[in-house]
Amino acid sequence: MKREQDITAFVFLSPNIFGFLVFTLFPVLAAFALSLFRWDIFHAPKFIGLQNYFDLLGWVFEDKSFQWIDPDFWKFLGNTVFYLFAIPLSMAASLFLAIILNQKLRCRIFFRTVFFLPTISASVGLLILWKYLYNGDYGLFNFLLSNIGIDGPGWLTDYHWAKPSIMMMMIWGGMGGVAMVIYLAGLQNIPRELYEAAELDGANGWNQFCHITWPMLAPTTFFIFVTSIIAGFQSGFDAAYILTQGGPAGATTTLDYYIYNHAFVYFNMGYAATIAVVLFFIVFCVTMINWRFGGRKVHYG
Amino acid sequence: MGKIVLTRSRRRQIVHAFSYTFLITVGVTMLFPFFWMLITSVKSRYADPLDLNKLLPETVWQISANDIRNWTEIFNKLNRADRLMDSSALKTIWTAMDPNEQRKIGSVVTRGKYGEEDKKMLVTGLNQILLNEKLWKNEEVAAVLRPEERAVITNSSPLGKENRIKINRMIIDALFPEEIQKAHRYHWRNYRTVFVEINFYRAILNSFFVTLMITVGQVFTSSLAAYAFARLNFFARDHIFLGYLATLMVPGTVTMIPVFIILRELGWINTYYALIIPPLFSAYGTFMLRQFFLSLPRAVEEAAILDGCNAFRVYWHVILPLSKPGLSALAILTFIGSWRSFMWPLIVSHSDNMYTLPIALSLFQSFYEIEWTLLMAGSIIMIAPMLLVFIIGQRYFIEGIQLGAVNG
Amino acid sequence: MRYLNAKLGITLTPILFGLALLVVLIIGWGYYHSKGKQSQSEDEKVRLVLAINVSHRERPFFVETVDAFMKEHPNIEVEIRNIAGVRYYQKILIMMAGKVAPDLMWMGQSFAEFAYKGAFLDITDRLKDIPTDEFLPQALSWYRMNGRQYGVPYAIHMRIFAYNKKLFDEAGITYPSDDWDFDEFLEITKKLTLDKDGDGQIDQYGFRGGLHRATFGAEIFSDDGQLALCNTPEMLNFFQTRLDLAFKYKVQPTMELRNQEGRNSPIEMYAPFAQGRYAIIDGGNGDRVVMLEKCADIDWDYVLCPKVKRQAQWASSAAIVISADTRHPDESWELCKVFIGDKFQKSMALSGMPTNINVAEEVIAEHRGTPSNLKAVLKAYDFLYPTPRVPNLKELEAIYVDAEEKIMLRMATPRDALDDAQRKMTLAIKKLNERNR
Repeated sequence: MKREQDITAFVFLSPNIFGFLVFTLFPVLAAFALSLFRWDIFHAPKFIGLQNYFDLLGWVFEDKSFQWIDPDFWKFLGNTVFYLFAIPLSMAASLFLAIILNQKLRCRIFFRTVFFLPTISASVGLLILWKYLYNGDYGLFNFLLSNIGIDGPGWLTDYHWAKPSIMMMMIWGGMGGVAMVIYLAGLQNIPRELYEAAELDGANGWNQFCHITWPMLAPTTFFIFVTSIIAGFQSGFDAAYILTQGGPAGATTTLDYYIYNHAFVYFNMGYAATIAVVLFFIVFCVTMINWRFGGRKVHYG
Repeated sequence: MGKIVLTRSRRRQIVHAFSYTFLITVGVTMLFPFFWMLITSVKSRYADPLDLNKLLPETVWQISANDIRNWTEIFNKLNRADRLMDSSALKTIWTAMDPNEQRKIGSVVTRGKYGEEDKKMLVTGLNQILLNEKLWKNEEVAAVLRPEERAVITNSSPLGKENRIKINRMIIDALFPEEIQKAHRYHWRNYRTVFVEINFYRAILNSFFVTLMITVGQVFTSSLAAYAFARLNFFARDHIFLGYLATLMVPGTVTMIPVFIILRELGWINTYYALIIPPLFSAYGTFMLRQFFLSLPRAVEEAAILDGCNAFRVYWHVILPLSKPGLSALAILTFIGSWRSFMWPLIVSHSDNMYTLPIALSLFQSFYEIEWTLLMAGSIIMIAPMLLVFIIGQRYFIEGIQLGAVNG
Repeated sequence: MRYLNAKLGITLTPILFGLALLVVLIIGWGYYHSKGKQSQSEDEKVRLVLAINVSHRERPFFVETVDAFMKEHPNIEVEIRNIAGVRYYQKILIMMAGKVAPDLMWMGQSFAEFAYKGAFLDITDRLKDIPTDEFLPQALSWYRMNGRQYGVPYAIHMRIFAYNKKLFDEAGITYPSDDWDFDEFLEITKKLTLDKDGDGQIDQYGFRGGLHRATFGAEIFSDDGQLALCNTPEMLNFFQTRLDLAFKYKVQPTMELRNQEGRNSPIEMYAPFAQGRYAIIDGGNGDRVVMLEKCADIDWDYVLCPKVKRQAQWASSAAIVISADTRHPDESWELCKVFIGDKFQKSMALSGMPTNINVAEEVIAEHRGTPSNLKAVLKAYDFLYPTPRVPNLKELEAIYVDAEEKIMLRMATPRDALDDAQRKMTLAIKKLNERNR
């Protein structure tokens, strides 16, 4: 009986596992292997051991000062982490919208649809729109600001404004999106009786939120948070490619864009694989930490 | 004690009023960029983009060199007018030009050859015609106008400068229908340019084809594997599944380079295979559907097995019909994901007949640099199909995502 | 099989069969697609792929030329892939890495980077087909490596200043001449930097753009790309002068201001130039067609870059070269010749000066109207300073640009930033040499 199930299972699994092996597992292992080489794709690869890792993560003491060998990596890691701060903001906005939409209001379907539009259309098309809105000369924002007498910054070209601008765009696109929809589902699963009982006890809206809504939504929040963090570490490629080309002075380059550049612009395949592997470890560790601490809180909190 | 006691319904009213205000504010914030995009996309490409004084596009009555599509034909027409060989409407507008200008253009048309300077002269000449005060008084000239256009003349006498220019522009538009771009408030010309300049038809087709193939393929392979993980008991099942789970955390960039090399060795770069096959096998889909299958009741299945159905029949006739919501959830997520997917097609599609919409649009963007009206038209073409699909299947989208999240 | 089926109680046959079919179809079609196409096209039409990097203004010329060529050669079919913009070279490299390189490609600054990878077909022996002595010798040499010729450019693009004549008239300054020096330049730009409405903010800048380091005698690295020269005294002088122009004399908008205005592509500079916000800009003769469109309302003219230590014009060129991987070298050369030919060079004259000196002279003789000093472009042929030809130009240039940004945004002193760039560049060169070994 056992062997029969094995064979049947193999038949069922074979298409997916074939693809999984060829296009996921093998490439992951290959990426690890590749990170030990120096290879520009056009010439033969050269084995260099862990040199790539030293170049990426190493440091030197020069003139009695501490210097990273590849300061860009740390800068771009910083950029990536900076973008992560959009996640809690966006989640808070999503939760707020979801709570409002969860009331018995007219037109809620309409509003839900409208809020979801940016998520549906999020793509190159929308990025080009934002490039236009942010444009210093012809952009809508600076036009509106100039009407009230403010000289707007070059949103995407100013070193200090570029990252917040892209974050703002992310929050605009994200707050009515998937997170809000999941929160709505979560809210609908909270039994009405809880609120009714609370109301009888004289709890006001804020108390209800703190003692019913928030704890009941904790698993949902945790789920959204973990998946957003995983996605967040891989974000920013499209925006960097279309909007800013990673500039000004690398202010909007994320790790994904950095990896792409090393792989398909400079053709340092080995080095690109090294960064990718390091990114993988970062994501892995952060997710593990999330599960370890967040997971426990959700269950026992 | 002076404390205002609100009744429950009263309080609810206030909350609702606040909610509506808030929703409308956020809704406007969400919609306005889209509205702005639409407005820009129907503006004249040559309207001064710095002139933002009016939100709505203004008709540009003045003729600029860019409005002219066919210089040769205009010079030819004027040449004929000069020699009294064509309709006298043309002849009249020819004589409406400043004599000095006429002489200059005349020398060009007889020479039969023109340069930048001559073009400039012609534009000046045409704009002089716009200022002419008695052009439409000529019967033959008035005859080229449509009745509703002629009504503008009769309804607004005496004619102010603005209306005069408007009427004259209509006359020019009527006399040079093909050669000079018409003055319109809104126009779909930008959309036409987009389709002519870039092979957008093919890009749309490619995007739909690739997206559909990935969606169908992913749902099929994932559901097969998910069924095995959920229902069959086989060697090292849990270990294999754990392996699947672990890869959920692998960033796309890790596999990007090796997969590119594999496809290169297969000779698949710049083919549909490269676009479709690597994204076809998804660990996430398998994981999500497994959770869904686990939540299905086993009773029906067991009855089917007792009836002598084999595993594949159970999968096909029992599990799949029961899990339509789960399947559609995965399908929708996959559809959205691959419609907007950018980095992978960027690496593997390299010719007009392989570009997907995002790639075509990103190339289009660098082709037109700062021609925002055209870029907005292109962007709308990219966004519109997705919006259409969404508005039609709105309910499924939302429910699908909720389901995917709850199970995942 | 039957035994298994009976034993399992399921019908494995159709599933296995279906799967096998799927695998065969996928692999088979893929194989056909990659290999089968070659044999197929060989007995039918020759298919050439031509990759170009041109804007919508120049593309029609290429389309026309190719159409005429196809009419002349009915057995050849040409597909044009236009990848406009700064990402052109990246895309071509990805195509080459993916073994789908185009047969012919447009080449400019990055020639060396590609030639070093062995990307081009050697056309040294085919050069007898064209009148090489009519071409500007330097332009030919830009496409030569180790004594072998890989391409013949059809146009030269150079940085050249454009000035608004009206603003000069208003200020009562005579128009600059092509042999002006830096002091004259500074005098003029000082006079043309004005605060017209008296609100303390400058409304009209004397200059917008950059002087070229070659006029200061500075270079990023040595000609062979083996020695970084980022922190030479010339380079320091060059950056100090640029800082002075922006912050001491204030004749040029600072980089902060430029970023604030958000105009990062040169093409966005022409509209404000036409509005009189800048008196002199560093345009390019490649953009003449754009300027004619965007600056149609003003009278403007070209002038060569002022002499600092020496007179130099930054220049690049454009050529159509043949890929080393092409399966149809002869047909490709036929098409290539069309792009080298007089007719095409002349048609492209609005966005680049012909490399064939006869054609260039003809273009200038026939030219009338704006800019009246078009012959300056021809004059500059004597001191063109091309983009350095080193294999990893992009990487090295990125280091330089980074330092430049830091200096001009005053995030670092020229000394520190250039020393840092020097260190990084030396490391990058070392790494490249290791990679080559």
